Amino acid sequence: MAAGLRAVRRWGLAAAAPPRLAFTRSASVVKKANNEQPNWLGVGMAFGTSAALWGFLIKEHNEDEMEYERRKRERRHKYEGCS
Amino acid sequence: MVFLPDESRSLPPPPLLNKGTVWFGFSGWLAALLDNAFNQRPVLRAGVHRQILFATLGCFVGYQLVKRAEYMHAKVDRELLEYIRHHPVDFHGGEG
Repeated sequence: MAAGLRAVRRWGLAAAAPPRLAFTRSASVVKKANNEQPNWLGVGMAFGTSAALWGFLIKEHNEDEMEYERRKRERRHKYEGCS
Repeated sequence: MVFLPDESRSLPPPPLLNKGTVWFGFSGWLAALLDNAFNQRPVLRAGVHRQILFATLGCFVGYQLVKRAEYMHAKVDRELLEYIRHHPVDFHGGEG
C-alpha cells in the first residue's frame, strides 16, 4: 500500500504542470449560494405552490366522492327500474 | 393511454390519508432533508418551505398513483369475475 501511495504522489507531482492558457467560452455563470438571507421569492413561490396543490387535491377528492355517490345512485335507479 | 379513464370515477375514491400519500409524502420530505444535508445546511430547521413543498408533491403524486392502482385492480377483478360467470363448468365450487 505504501508503494501505491508513493506512485500516486509521483503521478501527482508529474501532472502538476501549470495549466495551458487556452481560453474556453462558457455561457454559464455560477454564484455561490447565499443561505444567510431568506430567498423570499423562492419561499413565497414554494408556499404558494404547496397551498395550490393542497387545494387542488382536496377539491379533486371531494369531486371524486360526489361523482361516485352520483353514479351509485344512478346505478340503483337503473336496476330498480325508476328511469 | 389515459392515466385515469372516466370509469375509474365509478370507484370510491381512496381516502386522502392512504399508504401512497403517506409513503410518497414522507419520501418527498426525506428528499428535502437530504438536500439540506448535501448543501451543508441544518437538516431539520432549514428550508421548511422546501420540506413542505416536496412533501406536498409527494402526497399529490401518491394519491394519483393509488387511484390508478385501485382502478387497475378493480378492472382485473371485474374481468376475472366475468370469466368465472361465463365459465361456470370450470368453477363448480357450488355443486361440490
